[in-house]
Amino acid sequence: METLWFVIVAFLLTAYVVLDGFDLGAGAVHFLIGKTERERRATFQAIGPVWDGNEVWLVVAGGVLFCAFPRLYASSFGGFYLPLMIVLWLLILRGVGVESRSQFINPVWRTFFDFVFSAASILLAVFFGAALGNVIRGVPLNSDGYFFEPLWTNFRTTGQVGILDWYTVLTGALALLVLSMHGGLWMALKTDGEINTRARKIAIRLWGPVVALTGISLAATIYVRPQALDNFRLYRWGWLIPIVVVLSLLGIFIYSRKGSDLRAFLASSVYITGMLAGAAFAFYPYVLPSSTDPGLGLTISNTAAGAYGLKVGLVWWTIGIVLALGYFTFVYRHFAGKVTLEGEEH
Amino acid sequence: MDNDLLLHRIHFAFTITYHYLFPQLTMGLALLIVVFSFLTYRRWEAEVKGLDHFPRDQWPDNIALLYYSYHIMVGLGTIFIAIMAVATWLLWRRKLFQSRWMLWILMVSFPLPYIANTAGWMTAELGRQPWLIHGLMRTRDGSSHMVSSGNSLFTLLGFMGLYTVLSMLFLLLMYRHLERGPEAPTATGQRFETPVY
Repeated sequence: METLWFVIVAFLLTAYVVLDGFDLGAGAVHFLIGKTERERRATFQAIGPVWDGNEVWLVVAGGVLFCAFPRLYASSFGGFYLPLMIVLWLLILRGVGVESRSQFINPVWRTFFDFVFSAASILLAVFFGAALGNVIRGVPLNSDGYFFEPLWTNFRTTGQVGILDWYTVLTGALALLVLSMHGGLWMALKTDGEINTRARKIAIRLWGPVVALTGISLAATIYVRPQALDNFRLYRWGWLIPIVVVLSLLGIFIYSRKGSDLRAFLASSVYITGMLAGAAFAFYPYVLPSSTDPGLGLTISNTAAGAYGLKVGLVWWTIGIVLALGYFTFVYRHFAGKVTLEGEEH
Repeated sequence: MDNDLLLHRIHFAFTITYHYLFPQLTMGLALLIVVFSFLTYRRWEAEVKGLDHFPRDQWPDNIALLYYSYHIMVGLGTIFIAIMAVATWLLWRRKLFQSRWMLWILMVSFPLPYIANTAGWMTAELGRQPWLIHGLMRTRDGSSHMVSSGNSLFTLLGFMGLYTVLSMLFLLLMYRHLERGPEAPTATGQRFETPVY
């Protein structure tokens, strides 16, 4: 039952990264894709109807975490207090940027809020990558299962660790590149003409660095956390995941060169899913490893809620996810197709 | 001599206003106690325990603020019921859009829901003290021990700053929209929402 909930939480977080990832990515490459005021509208036509719903997957993941693994929620939200608050502010600023930009027909106003939107998107991508890096590297848990990390200490991954050290900055950079590429592929999918060409070119240009950093961060992960390979030795079917990652990377390159935008975007989604699934697979059953003493790490067994709660929660979650997926399919079907620059302002 | 008279007049005005408002608020509260005690205990004779029945260490911190927040919320709620009852009756009689006095009242009372809402939340959050989970956990036991007060202060200031900026943005947008007024309907009677200058 705990394993099932582990998979559910991993699924929800992956869904969030794939979905809000393209919003953040579109924001990150916003100024590179849209050179004029008219062209910049394309970004908001493309993500306008869906960005809010995409962000909700993060709320769902947090809520499910609270329900299924309350001790993990308690420990990590206290320990990651500072970056979580900063992420909150960035999410607010990103949303304000999207919704306020078209309130006044004034170039200074629009450019200012475009900048807020883009900067917040870039920083969010970095922070989310760093957050994952923190979880993989481990945190200084005490015997009660609590910790607190300052924003940075000495940038080393051992001893007194901070939120930012060389490893988490690396994962943050990888996240930024991956999400920018992902966002670029979404923009290519949703636009045509000049903007489509530009978005695709950006995505292709980012592909090389993404591949390079994927390899480097994989090596760094094994260096920082040698236990990551244990599950791969135990369960041989886990090797499917890196194979999927490599294939999806190839897919991104081939499809975007050919101009099959939908396939390229789907390949990118598969890549992100593969990377996150690999991470979840690698550190199962740990949910938050300890950087000091391995015995103090939080696992699914010592953080899960009671069996009755997990069972009841599963019933409600199933009902909820069916509703959510139904509505999700409806919205994306309704807004499918290319966006036009002449359409109504979002 | 003049100063004394002025001071006395002001004092008199305050006293009258206070005594005018206070009985209404109390009578409203009495009615609510009757209704809610029935809803809670399902018997007319159920005893609703006053504050003096609980030990001193289980009292909320700031009883005066709690008391007035609650009364403001309830008082405003009663006013809303009255206003909306009259407005609905006028609407039913198709006289609402011609009664200037009612339209004025409706327009002027637009900030009242914000106040009532905030007062209600203050009632809830002040009234729950000292409990975070009633009977099980006190507020002071529920705070994160690992998060130092400096961090809390930093994020509190951060939020205050962000909300201040957002409030100014909100006021700016509201003002411009109000200044523009309602859109003139097109020939088909449709109204389009366009951005304001």
